[in-house]
Amino acid sequence: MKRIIAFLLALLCLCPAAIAAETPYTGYYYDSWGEIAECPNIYTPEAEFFPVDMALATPLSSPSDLFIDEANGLIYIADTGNSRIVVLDAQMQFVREMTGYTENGEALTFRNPEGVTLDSQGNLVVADTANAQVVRITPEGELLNRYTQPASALYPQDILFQPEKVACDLEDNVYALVPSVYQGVILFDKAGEFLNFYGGNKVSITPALLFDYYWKKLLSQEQAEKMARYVPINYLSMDMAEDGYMYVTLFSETSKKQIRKLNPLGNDILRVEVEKKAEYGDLDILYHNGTRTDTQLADIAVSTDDFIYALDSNRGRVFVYSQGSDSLGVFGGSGRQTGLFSSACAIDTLGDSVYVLDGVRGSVTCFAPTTYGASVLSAMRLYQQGEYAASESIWRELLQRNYHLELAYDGIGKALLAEGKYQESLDYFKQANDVYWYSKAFQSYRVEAVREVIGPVLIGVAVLVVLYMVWSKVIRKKGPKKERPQTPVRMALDTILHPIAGFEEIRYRKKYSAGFAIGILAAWFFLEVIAHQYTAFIFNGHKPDSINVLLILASTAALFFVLVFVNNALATFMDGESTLKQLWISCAYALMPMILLRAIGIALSYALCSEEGVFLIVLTVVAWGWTFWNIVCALQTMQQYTFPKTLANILLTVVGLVIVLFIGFLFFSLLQQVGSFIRTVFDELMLWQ
Amino acid sequence: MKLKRFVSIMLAVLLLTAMLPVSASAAVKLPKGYQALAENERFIVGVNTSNCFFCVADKAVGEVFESNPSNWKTDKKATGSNKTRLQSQMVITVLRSATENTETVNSQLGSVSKGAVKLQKVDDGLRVLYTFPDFGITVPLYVTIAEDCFRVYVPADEIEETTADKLLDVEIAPLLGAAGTNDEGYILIPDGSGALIRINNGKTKAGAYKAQVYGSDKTFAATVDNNTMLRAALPVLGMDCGDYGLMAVATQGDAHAYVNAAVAGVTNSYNTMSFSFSVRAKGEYTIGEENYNARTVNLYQQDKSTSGRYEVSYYPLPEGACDWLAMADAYGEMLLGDRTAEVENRVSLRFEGMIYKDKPFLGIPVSTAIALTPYASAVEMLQQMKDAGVPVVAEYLNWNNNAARNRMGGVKASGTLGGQKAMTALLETAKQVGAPVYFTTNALSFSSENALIARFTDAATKLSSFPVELHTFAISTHKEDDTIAPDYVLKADRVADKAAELLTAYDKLGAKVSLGDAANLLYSDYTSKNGSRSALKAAVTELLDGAGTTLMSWPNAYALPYAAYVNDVPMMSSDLSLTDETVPFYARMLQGRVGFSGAAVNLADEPRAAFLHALETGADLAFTVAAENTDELRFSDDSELYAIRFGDWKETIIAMYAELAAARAQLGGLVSREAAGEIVTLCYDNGAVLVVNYDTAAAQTAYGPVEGLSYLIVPGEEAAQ
Repeated sequence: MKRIIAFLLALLCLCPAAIAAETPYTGYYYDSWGEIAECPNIYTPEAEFFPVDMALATPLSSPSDLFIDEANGLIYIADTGNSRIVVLDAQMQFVREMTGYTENGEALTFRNPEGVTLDSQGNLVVADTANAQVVRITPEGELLNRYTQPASALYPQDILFQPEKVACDLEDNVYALVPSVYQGVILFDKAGEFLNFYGGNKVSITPALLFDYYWKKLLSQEQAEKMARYVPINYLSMDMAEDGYMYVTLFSETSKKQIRKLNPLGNDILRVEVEKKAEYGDLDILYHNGTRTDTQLADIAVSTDDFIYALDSNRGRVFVYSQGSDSLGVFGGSGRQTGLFSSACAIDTLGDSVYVLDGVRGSVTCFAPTTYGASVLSAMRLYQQGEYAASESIWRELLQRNYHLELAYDGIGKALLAEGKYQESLDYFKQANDVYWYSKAFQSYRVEAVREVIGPVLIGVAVLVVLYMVWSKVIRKKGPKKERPQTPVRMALDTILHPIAGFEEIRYRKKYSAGFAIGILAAWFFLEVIAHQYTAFIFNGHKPDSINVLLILASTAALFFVLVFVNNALATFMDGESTLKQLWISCAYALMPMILLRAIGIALSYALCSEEGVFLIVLTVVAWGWTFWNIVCALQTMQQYTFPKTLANILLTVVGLVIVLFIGFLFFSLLQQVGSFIRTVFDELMLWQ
Repeated sequence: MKLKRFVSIMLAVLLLTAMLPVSASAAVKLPKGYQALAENERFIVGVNTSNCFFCVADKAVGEVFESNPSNWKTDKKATGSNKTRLQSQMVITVLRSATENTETVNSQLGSVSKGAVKLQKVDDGLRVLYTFPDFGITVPLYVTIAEDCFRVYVPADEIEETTADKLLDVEIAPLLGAAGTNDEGYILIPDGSGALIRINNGKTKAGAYKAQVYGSDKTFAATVDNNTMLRAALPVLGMDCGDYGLMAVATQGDAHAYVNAAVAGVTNSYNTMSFSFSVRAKGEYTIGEENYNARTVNLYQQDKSTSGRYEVSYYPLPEGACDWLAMADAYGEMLLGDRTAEVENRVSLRFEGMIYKDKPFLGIPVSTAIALTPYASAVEMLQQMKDAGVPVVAEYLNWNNNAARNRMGGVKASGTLGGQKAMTALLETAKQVGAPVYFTTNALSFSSENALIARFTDAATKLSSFPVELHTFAISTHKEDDTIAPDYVLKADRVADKAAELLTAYDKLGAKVSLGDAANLLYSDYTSKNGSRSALKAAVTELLDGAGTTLMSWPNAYALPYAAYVNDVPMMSSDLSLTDETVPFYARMLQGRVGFSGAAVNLADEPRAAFLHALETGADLAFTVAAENTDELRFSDDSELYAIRFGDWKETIIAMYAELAAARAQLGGLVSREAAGEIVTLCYDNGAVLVVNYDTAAAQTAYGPVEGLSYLIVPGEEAAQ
């Protein structure tokens, strides 16, 4: 009878929270540009379970970990403040609690356990934090193994072994995370023997690191300590996925590579198609009232379908990623509403549902996918398995709900590609901003297109060749060769191929065309604008409609004139003989090869795929090399320098440019200070009542 | 000290007894210790001279409402000032002039225990004069009875401040109607659609509920706004205790009101609801750049926020008609009288006219107009709906160049959308097909593009004399988005002029007007010394009065009487951890009185759930649509419009309308609504039962299985069997 009443009571307590909530957060994901794209929410909160709803006699006190045993539908909570492990069923109803374990018949208690997981046999593995140990116990509470501070010399003995997170692999090896042990995850074998540090990596030497290293040598000790310290690695959390891979999150100053998927050797093997996608969490940093709030992925969970759920404890958000690091959606937030958190600290999944533990409120919030979210997940599932054709129809349906969804365009594009509809797929890959697959589709499309037009094109070329030969042999020979007049423009054009002779000629005859030089600079500027806007998609890399004309102007014509003026100023020291007019006009002439090849490059970009991009690089190198040579010739001729002196002159010009920029910067910051001062005075006046 | 207190109370008692001994009615008796002061057909008001508690007995409902719990002494949870709070009829917050600190003190601790209180009988009730000797502030509290309610209020002009200390806030009757640990029932809060907090729900760590009535004031907006709570558009609180109910409405000074609610177990053992009022606003201003030489100055409003009253009216409700449904009916009648909706069941279409977006012209970014719904397309859509037999009420958003940029100025037809000719054709079509089309222009906010002059002549200012700015907040950081220029808002005394201009222009055009933010945006304006929210509320009410009834989006209570149709009615609350159930209080209040619709179905997280909400609440279905160029919305300021292509949704609109009409034809007038998790069961007076399942999974109910995100209707005859 008692049981029935208890059961009925439990039933009554079910479903505590309100109806299908209008979500307190805006749905979004990070698109391929690394920007926020709004979308329908993929997850909404189903309910927030408070201790009352869980039929718990003692409320949770600062709980810190949540583990879900999917096979048996049991939920384990490390209730740190109450030094116990609470076990709930899938309906979030209290099943039992464990306050300790027995060792040879002697009852021992947990002290502030912070982590809990299960091994392959269903035994509990508990991070008994304040007792400085990890214990493996049977579900009945009998101690099996104990894992304590390794005596090994590898372990930094000054740091007390107080494990905060635990994980267990398929061989029942035990992984323990101890904060401020930077060597990696502490790995024990099943019996309790310390094996080694897992996933620890060495500091890779980067230029920035070297710079900092030497910079710190110049600083006082106090200053140096204020700078960020380089520590090899600092894991925040880990989750052992069913396939035996370990997913970890890192403490990091940036969003880059905060999530890793480690193979048994401890190497990161998380697939990232585009470099940009290797950033996780919120990409915007918040500076406010002198403090910086950043994404801190405090916990991670991987679902049975291999979707990655990372929990940002700073902002209470959950980020969902595919195996390809595509951002599928973001949900949650901080606040006092259901679906928002006071202090989110742990996450785990049960099927497609997501459970998040709030350490301050002592509650667990359950999220379930919306129909939109469920479609995204199921389409992505098929897509991850390479079943593009099967996923196509789901992607198409999703476009009705969100025609901005890049993943859908990508999915449809791949389906079309698999069907051999190359041209059609190009549009979709472009919408998805997927250069990699666009290029692949383009390659196939190009073969097809060339095959179609190759015949007529070859015939056309043959006809042209014949016509040219006829023209040059028959018609051209008839008349006497006319002497071409030496206009300034023609002379300028001559410098392209014969810079030394050309510039000598110009200097000798004093035939400069300022108009033509201006034209060259204008052409350069416009060509850069065109390059920005109209370079083929594969090589463009610019967001549509995003163009900063001033920046382009500054990096072309404006930069040119600054350099010329610096050079002209230097000429005073270096006995240059050129006038300013001669100098800038001849230098402008020298830019022609670069501009011509740039134009060819833009045109060529439409015919090449990603792998052939090296042609464009070669072209650019040739263009700049050529232009550099022409500039050397121009300077040598106009300033009447020797070749070594010219090179020195160019080097000094660059140094001069740096000085000019530095002075400009100083001036700018001075202006800012003055502006800020005026603003403050203005403020004071406005507030003066 | 003790003697002094004793003497003063004795004096008061003497005074009272000498003045008026009224005999209590036979039906309900005042509890022991209370002395009756005034009585009318329904109420008796009494006071306990020993502790200044007051009470009102309702002869109709048969219940006595005490200002403070009589058994406060036995509360073990409350200690210190929380204990004295239980004995208080008022809590004030004062600005200490010497230290610039604010202090909160309750009437028991700050006045009664110091013997500095005077009781007086007034015509229909009681006046209690609380003097707070520590601050030199005197605040009178009136308790009066009227025909159908009793009122507790503080007249602003009777507040006296003899020192430099200033009164900032006053909370009125914090424990009136409080429910104890043995009571059952719920508190209704006006959060979004409305929500219920079950009495003694045990959520002591979930925090209390506090919200500014009519939305948080943008004049005091912080640069980081983490508040994602929905607006409290109605100044209403309610408590349903099963055998009686009590509805509290801020009837005066509501523009300065905050609603509060708390459950037992946090600071004391009572579940409470109360209104507090901001008497003086407090702001701050940071001089200098953030993180660099910054200095923050506190700023305070000099004059009181209103010269009227801070008044709460309490409406007791009898057993059987004291639930939130009854409260919604009572409040709806208060606001809208006996209005009845003319047309039932329509589809609310919102046309997105156009956007402005930076597009490169010869490589130079130029703000370019992009048509989303040209007038001709709107004509087409209206006609298609007509052909499909779907009656429509339409709102045309961003319908001309100024509206699309939120700029002040003329209301000419836009060339981008087809020009005056096409516009005329649209107006004619609208008449022909019988679909009212409202053209929306914001009456209060305006773009900073106008700001060169308007910033100084027309913009409302903060306490710091800088213009009030409406910012867009970044989704991930909740910080002001610097990439989007803020809007300004009109000064209170410019509202009337600007509106007159606007209305004249609309008249000339022959188009129906919707005044956009006039219905739902309220802010303070400190251009003049006594500027405040109530000044703006008065200006807006006058403006709406002049405009006749119009279409509105989720209006605040004061605007609602002027609504011809209401869009964006919230179907959900903020779903605070503290609350136990979301209820469609707002929708229920409108049902049958004014036509209304919820948020756009096509942009909802769960379109099917939006349909179910419409079915349950009697709302019309709403869709936000555009005819073309929707791809341009990506990378624009309106990228949240990710599913508004009319072509994608046309079939859905027609099908959903038909389904809704067929389902609704079987339902009568709502009698009761029960929610259990995601399953809602509604009973109607024709005997029909509607079971709605908001969960994505199928569910078994008492009336049979219901598919996920679906419903079940048991017609009247069957349900009876």
